[in-house]
Order: sequence, then C-alpha cells, then structure tokens
Amino acid sequence: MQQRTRRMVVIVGIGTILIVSLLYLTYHFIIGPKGLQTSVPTLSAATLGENKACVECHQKENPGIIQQYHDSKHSGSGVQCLDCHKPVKGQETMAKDHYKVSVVVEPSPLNCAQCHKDEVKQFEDSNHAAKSWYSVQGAKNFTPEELAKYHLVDAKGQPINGGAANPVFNLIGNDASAQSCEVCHAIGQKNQDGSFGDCTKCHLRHTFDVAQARQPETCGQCHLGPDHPQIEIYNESAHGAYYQANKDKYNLNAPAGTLTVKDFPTPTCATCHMSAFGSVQGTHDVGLRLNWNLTPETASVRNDGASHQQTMNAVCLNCHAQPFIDDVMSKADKTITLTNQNVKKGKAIVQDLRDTGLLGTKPFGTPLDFLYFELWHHEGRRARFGAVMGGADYVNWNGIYEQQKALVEMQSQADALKAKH
Amino acid sequence: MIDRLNKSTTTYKTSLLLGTMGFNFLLTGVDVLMAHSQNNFFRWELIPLVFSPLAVLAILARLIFRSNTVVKRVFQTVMWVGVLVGVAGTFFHLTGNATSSSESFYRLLIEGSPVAAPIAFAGISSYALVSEHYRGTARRSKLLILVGLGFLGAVVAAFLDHARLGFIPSYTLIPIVSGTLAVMSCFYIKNQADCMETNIYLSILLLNLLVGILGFGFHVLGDLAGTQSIIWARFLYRNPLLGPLLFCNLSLLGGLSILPESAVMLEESRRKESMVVSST
Repeated sequence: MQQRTRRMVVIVGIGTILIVSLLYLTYHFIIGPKGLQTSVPTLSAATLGENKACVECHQKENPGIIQQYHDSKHSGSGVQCLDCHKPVKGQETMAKDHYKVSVVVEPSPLNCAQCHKDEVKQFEDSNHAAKSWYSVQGAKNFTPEELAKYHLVDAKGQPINGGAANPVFNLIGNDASAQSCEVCHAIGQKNQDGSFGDCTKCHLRHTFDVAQARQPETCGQCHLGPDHPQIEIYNESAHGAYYQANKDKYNLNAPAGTLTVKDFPTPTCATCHMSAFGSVQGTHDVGLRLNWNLTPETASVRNDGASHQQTMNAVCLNCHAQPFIDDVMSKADKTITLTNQNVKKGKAIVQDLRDTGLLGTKPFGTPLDFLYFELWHHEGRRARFGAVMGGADYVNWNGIYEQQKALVEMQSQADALKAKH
Repeated sequence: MIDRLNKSTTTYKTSLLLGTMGFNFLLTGVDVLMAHSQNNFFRWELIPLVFSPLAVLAILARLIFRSNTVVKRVFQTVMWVGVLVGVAGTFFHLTGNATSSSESFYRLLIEGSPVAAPIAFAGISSYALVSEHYRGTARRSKLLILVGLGFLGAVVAAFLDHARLGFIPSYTLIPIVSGTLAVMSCFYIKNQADCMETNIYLSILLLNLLVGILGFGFHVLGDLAGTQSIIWARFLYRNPLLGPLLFCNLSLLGGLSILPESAVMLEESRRKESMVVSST
C-alpha cells in the first residue's frame, strides 16, 4: 500500500474511532438518561406585547400558573396566554375587560378548538360532554336544538327521563350538588358560549400534560366510589397491579399515534378507551369502543355496540389471544345479564307495592326506595364494571352478592308492609 | 461511455449541483410539511413551509436565467435567508424542548423536537451558494467541507435519534460509524487526492449509500411493526423515513462534489470575473 494511502487509512480510521468514542462518552455522561442537567430559556420566555404583561403580572400574583405554563408543550410550541384566553366568535358575553385587554377567564372547548378541532368534535359526541351534564341537571337550561343535537331525546322526541333532574340531585340539594355531583359532571357543563364541556377536567391546567391525562389517577378523580368504582376495579385488576408495579417503565409521553405495548406494557384507562394503540385510531369519544351501556337501571347493548366491540377487540389483541378475549367477554355478558335479572326482580317488588298503594311515588321516600336505587345504581353497576374490567371482587362481594342480599331485604320489607296492611 | 458521461457531467456540473439542491429543498419541504402538520403549522412553524418552495423557485430561476444579475441576487438572498432559517429553526427546536426548571440534556436534545433537523436548511443553502459562486479547486474544497459537515450533521441526527432507543438494537450504531468515516474522508481529501485516496473516499460513500438504503428498510419495518398499517404519526415520531435517506443523499453529493471541473467553463468563468474587475 502506498504511503499516502496508508496515511489516509490511518488518519480516517483513528479519527473515526476518536469521534465515535467521544459520542459514546457524551451519551454516557452528558446527554444519556443518567446525564447532566441544564437550564435553557423556554420559547415562551420570548413573549411579546399584551402576553408579556400577562406573564409579568401573574408571575408575581400567581407564580404557579406561569411555572406550569412554561413547563407545558404549549409553551414549547409558542402558544401564548391570549391564544387561549382571547374571546372567539360566540364568546361576546363571556369576555371581560382585564386591564384594558378583553379576555375569557375560563376558556371553553371553543377556545381549544382553534387548534384541537378534531378532539373537541369527538369529545362533543361523547358521554363526557352534554350527556354528562344532563344526567345531573336534566333538561333545564337545554334548548330543544341542543337536546336533539346531543341525542337527549327519546324515540318520541321527548327529553330522556322526562327532562327531570337526577333524583339524587334533588335529594341532596343545590349546595351539596355544587360540590359533589356537579364537580365531576361539569366535565360536560354548559358554557356561556353554548359549548359543552371542560377540557381541563382531564388536561389539568396550565401544563395540559398528555402524560398526566393518560394516567389512571386522572380518570380516578371522578370514576370512583360506590356507584362507578372504575379506578378501584382497575387497581384491583391485573392491568392495574402491573401498572402500579412498573409505572416507571411506561412511556406516558409517547406522541399520540405511536403508542405500542413497548410504551404501555399494560393498558391504562386511556389506552383502552381513547388512545391510538397499535393500529387502532385514537378518539376523544370515550364511548366509541363500548359494546354495553352499563349505567342505566337495565344495561343494554349500544346501537353500534358490535362494531364498537370490534374496535376494543383490536386493542385487546395487542396483548391477548382471541380465545382469551372471547372467554372474558362472554362471561362478562352473562354477568351483566344476571345484574339485569336482579334489577328486574327488585323492580317487580317495588312496582307491586306501588300498584297496591303500599308504596308512594315520592323518590327516596322510604328505605325500600333507597334499597331499589342502590340495587342498580350501586351494586348492579359495580358488578357490571367489575365484569368487563377484570375486577373479580366487584363482580361478587361488591356486586351480585350485594344485589342478592338487597333483594332478600326488599322482599322482607315488602312482605312486612303487606302484612301490616 | 464513462468518459462521455464524465464530460457531460463536467460541463453541466453547476446545473447538476444546483438541481440536486433544488431537489433537496423539495424533499426537506415535504418532511417539514409532515412534521409541522402535527401542530397545524402553529405560528413560527410556518416559516420553513413558506421558505422551501421559495428556495426551489429561486434555484429553478437561477438555472433557467443563468446570466440575469437580478435573478442571481435574488437567488443569493434567498439562500442566505435559508441559512438563517436553519439557525433559527435549531434555536426554536431547542427552546421548544425546554421548561422553566433545569432539564436533563436527554430531555432537551433527545426527546421532543429533533434539534439536529433544522440545520439542514442552512446546509443545503450553503451548498447551493458555494456551487453557484465558486469554480475549480476552491469549489471542490468548499463543497467537500460542506459535505463533511453534512455527514457530521447526519451522524449527530442519527446519534440523537438512536439514543432514544438506547442504541438497541446494536446495529443502530452502524450509521454513526459509517457517517463518521465519511466525515473524516471528506475533510481528508478536500484538497488534492490521488487515485487510490479517491477510490477509498468513493468506497466510503458507497458504504454510506448502502447504509442509508438499509436504514430506510429498517425504519419502514420498525414503523409497521405491530400495526400492519401505515400510521403517519409513527413515521413522524418513531422512525423517520427520510432520516436514513440523508446518508444516501450526502453520498450522492459527495460524489458530485469531486466531479472534474470543466476546463472550458473554468476559463469562461475566469474571463467573466476579470471583465467584471476591469469594468469596476
């Protein structure tokens, strides 16, 4: 080999080894997972005009807001305060003059829709939106057009449940409801601009962090308790147990549309019900993958339940074989049917007493009313949710067993009433 | 046939180089269109989208109206703007990954927006400016420096991207090694090189061309894995399609950069320059 050639080979070779070694050391000590930290100005630090005034004032008044905002992906993309807080079309009545700047204090989905149009549309179609608010407030404050738009009318065109407010809402009163039912159901609140919903129920402001929204604890803010204990059921299930033990292995920040089992070894709530996962498209319509409607007195299969189930099936297939999925779903169907039968029995007991005038029609007027209500609203739902989400304890001890016990108690009370009269 | 090919490419070397840069701007524009569409081209993200077609048009105009001074000035201005776009984009991507508290370099450079991507605009613009302005060994030398820097950028991009996976599987190290070989060889032969050195250089370029094609295959398979369907978010955020093809592109540019300069064109260029100097 000529000298020049040899020199080239040596210099290029050694140079390559040195550079690759340098890159390795850089990864290992500086930029890798165990590397160094530093502080770099955020893009949002370069705010201009009125936005600059927002940041300067609120930095002193409410530093938490500014800190959260600077930490957000919104900030990284150059979204500034007035991008969300300036009134859009339809928000004329919501706009307030705030130090000579017109602002909307609590942005509604219309503000979010400026950039997240698809997500807002999907959300509007879901049970998280108007339906959630209706289930507490009834048809009060809904226009006929809104009732029709959000499918809140029955086959005869009348508001569902006669348009009445939830009997529990009436039972506990406005003040208690404002701090209980309405806190969660406000995810679908009616806003002054005519929109329904509050995106910040899941995407907590001002970080609006996707990773936080994907965590089951977020859903668990509301999906808990004796009547819809989804978070308790999840925590009890194998999915939840794995999540608790291996949280740090989850890539909660993975960009939407890219999630696979490597990012989510077991599903969180969002994975099954919303996220794009594997080849399944994502959605903000939380009912789009559900076969059953489990919350009413009698559970029923949804209109497009079969196709919804196919979509859910596609999510399950990422980890489970088809025979396993079929087995679980068929057993769940049987459990749900059993809860319906128990509710039917309870209803027959109560109806018999009402028909014979032994029981009044005032909601929650007697202990029997509470027993029947909880038969479907608490025990029935617990068994149903436990059946579909792998919560064995909730199927039986908190579900079917409690239903059977309640039926015995109801029958006993009914017999006592009949004997008395 | 090779001689005839050599003669024709030599004659049209400048056009070939500029045309390749136009094609590069086109592909980069498509890449940015896909990437920035995820945020609906919010505010500053429009900049590269507006710039890319302008750059393509400027190059086309320069190719068609060779002797028009106005077109030349516009072309140079647009290319210098391209350098600024590349630098500004790097700044935006870096600050976009930052938060109000101290963050790890891992978060700043590896997760989030690809920090090494926007500088491509600066690289392509610089290459176009050098191709258009210089001739002879000066051009060859500068182009090779730019190709070397381009390979360095590709190595850094591959390094940061593959660091997300912790360099698992281990073949993700291949483009880093082959790219670094290309960087070293570009800088080595930027001045004169004999036949053997040129052959080694071309072999390294060929290696990188193959690495790019192989990488493209790996990326596509990786994106489709577990889905059996095309989901664009995966191609954007997981294994970018155009990333490995950058190595193929740079290999091509590396080859074009060492095309012999046409003696006739060189003489004409020198005569034009001396006429300009004497008239001033």
